Amino acid sequence: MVLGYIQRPMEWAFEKAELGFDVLFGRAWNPLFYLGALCYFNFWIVAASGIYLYIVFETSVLGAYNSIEVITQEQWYFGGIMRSLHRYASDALLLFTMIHLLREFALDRYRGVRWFSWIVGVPMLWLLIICGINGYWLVWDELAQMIAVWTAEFLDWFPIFGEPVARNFLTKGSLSDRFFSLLIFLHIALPLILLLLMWIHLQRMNRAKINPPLGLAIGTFLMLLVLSLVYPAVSHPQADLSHVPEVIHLDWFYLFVYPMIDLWSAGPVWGLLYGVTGLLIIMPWLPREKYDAPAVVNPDQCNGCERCFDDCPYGAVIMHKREDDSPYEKIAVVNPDACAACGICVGSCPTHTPLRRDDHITTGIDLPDYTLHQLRGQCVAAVAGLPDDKPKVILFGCARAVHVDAMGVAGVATIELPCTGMVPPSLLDFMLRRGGADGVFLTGCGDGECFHRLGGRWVEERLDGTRETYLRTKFSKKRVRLGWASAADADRLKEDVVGFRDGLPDLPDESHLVEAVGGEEQ
Amino acid sequence: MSNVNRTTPAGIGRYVGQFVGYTLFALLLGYFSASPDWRYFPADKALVKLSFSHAGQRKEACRDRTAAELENIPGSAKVPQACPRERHPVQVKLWLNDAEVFSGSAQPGGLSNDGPSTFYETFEVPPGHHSLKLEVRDNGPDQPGFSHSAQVDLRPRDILAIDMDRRALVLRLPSR
Repeated sequence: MVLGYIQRPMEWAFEKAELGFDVLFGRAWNPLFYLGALCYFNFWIVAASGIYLYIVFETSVLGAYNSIEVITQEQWYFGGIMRSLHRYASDALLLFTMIHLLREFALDRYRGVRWFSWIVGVPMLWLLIICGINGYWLVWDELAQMIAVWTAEFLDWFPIFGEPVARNFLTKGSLSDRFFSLLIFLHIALPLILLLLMWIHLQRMNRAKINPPLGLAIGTFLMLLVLSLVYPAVSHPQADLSHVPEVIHLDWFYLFVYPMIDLWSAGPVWGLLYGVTGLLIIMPWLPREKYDAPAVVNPDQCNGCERCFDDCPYGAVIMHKREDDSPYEKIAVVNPDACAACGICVGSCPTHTPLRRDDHITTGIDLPDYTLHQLRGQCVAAVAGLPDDKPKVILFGCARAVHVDAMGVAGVATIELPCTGMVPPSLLDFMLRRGGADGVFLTGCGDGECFHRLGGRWVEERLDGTRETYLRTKFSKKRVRLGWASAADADRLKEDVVGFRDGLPDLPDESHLVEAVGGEEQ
Repeated sequence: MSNVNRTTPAGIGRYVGQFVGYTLFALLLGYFSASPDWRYFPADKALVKLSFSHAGQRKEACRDRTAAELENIPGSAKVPQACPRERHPVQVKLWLNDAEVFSGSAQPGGLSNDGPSTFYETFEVPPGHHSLKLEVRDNGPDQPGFSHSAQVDLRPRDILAIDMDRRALVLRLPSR
C-alpha cells in the first residue's frame, strides 16, 4: 500500500523526534505525547485573550483598525500582549494540530476503531483555518484587505453568486459597518462550533488527555508570553480599497493557501483542497492490515466487576444488567465496532487469578484470536526452550514498539503482544512460580505513548499495586522489571534486558517458592 | 517491581533542555507568523478593475395578449401583456490606449436567464496617463450597443474601478 511507504519514514522521524524531546523535556513532559492536550491548552489561551480583544474591538470600518492600533501601541503592556498571545497561541494551535494529525497518521492511529475521531478531525482542521482567516479580516489592515479581496475572488470561481463577491471590496465606499458585525459574529460562532467538534472528537476515547502536565503548560504559556513581549504582533497599514498593498507579511500557518491562489489561480487550488479533504475522509477505509477479532465475554466467567469496562481505552466494553440465573447483577458486553482487540481487558480480568498450569483457562473476557490460554502455553514453551546456563528471563513486548522477537538475547524468551496491557499480573507471578522464569521483563510503547492509549498506564498501576488487578507474588519484585521503549529505543532496551538478566543471580535465592510442575495448586 | 529509567535530563540540564526546546519553537512560531514576505503586487504597476452588473435587453418585447388568451388566465394573473423574461447576454470590450485588453460575454443570471450579467476582471497596467474606451452590447451580438471613453491618470498601486450605473459609466479613482 502506497500509504505505508509514506508512513514508515514518517514513523521513523517521529521516533527520533520523540527521543530528542525526551532529552530536552524529559519523558513526563514530552510534548509529542500531549499534542491533543496542547491544542486544548492553546485554544483556552486564544479564547481568554479573545474575550479581552472583543471588549475593546470596535465593529466599524474606521473603528476596527483604530481600536486594535490603540491597544497595540498605547496599551502594549497589556492589550498588546493579549493581541500577541491571541495570534501566537492561534498559530501554535494550528501547528500542534498539524503535528498531531501527521503523527496519528504516521503511527497508524487513524483507522479501525479510531475512524470516528479522524473523520471529526477533518472539518475541525478546516474550521480552525477558517477561524484564523476570519480573525485576520477583523484588523482591517492591508493584510485583511488582501485576504478579503483574494477570498472573494477565490469564492467567485464558483459561479453561484448573483453578483461577484469581490464587488463588495471594489471601492472604499463598498463596505459598511455591518460587515464588521458579521465578521465578529462569525469569529465567535465558528470557534464555539470548533469547541463542540473538539468535544465530539473525543467521544470514543476513554480518559482522553485534554490537559497537558502543569510543567508543560507553564512552559508553553511562558514561551508564548516571552514571544509576545519580544516580537509583538503588529498591524499592516490601514486597509485602503483604492490602493493595492504591495508587500504582505503573511502568517504562513493560516494563510498558506493565498500564495497558492496567486501562483496557480483559483481552480487548481479548489481542486487541491477538495482532493486533500477527500483523501483525509477516505483514508480510514483504504486497504489496511487485517485486525484481529474483537474481544468476547464468557458469561459463565464474567462476574460483572467492571474492571474491563474501566480499563478499555475505546469505551468498547459496556455493562448490562444480567437477565440469566447468575448471582451477579451485571455482565460486560463488547461493542465489536469499537473494539481494537488490544487485549487490555484480558489483562484487567480477575476471574482467572491465580493462574494454574494444568487447567484450561477460561477468563471472563478474552481475545478469540489469541486467548489467555494460548498466551500462557506460549510463555511456558518459550521459557522451556531456554538453555540452563544463564538465568531465564521472559520478555513481554508490544507489537507497536521494539520488536522483541527480533532482539536475540541469550537466556531471554520473548512474547510479542497486541499491547503489553494484555498481560494479567497473575501471569507474571505464574511465570516465576511455575513457568520456569527467573525474571520477567515488560516493555512496550508505554507511558504517554501507548498505541492503545492506556495500556502502559494500566500496567504501571497494576504493578505498583494502585490499580486492580494487582500483582500479587511472594517473589521479590526485583524479579519483575518494567522498561518502556519505543521502536527507536531497541539498543537501549537490549542493554537494559541484558543488565536485568545478569543481575538476577545477585538476588536472594527464592527457589523454595518455585512450585514443581504438576504439584499442588495454591 | 523496578522500572528502567529512560533518558531523562536531571537537575539544571532539564531546564536548559526545555529552554532550548521552547526557544526553537518560539522562533518557528514568530518567524512564520509574519515571514517570509509575500509580494502581492508590483510596486511599479497600477490595477484596473472592470466590474459591473448590467442587465441585457429582453430577447422578446412585450406583446398584448389576445382576448382568447386572457380568457384562459385565472383572475389574479390576468395581465394584459405577456413579457418573456429571458435577456440577451452582455458583450463587453475594453480598450486601454487603443489596445484591446478585454473582450468577453456574460450570460444573464438566474434560472430563467432573466438576471443581470456580471463582470469582474482585473488588469495590471503601468502608471501614468491612460485613455480608455468601453463598449457594451446588451441587445444581441449584431445590434449596436453603447460605448464610453475617458482619460485617467494612475499612480503606482492605484486601483481604478470601472463600474456602471444603468448605462452610465462610473469611474472610481483614489482621491488625490
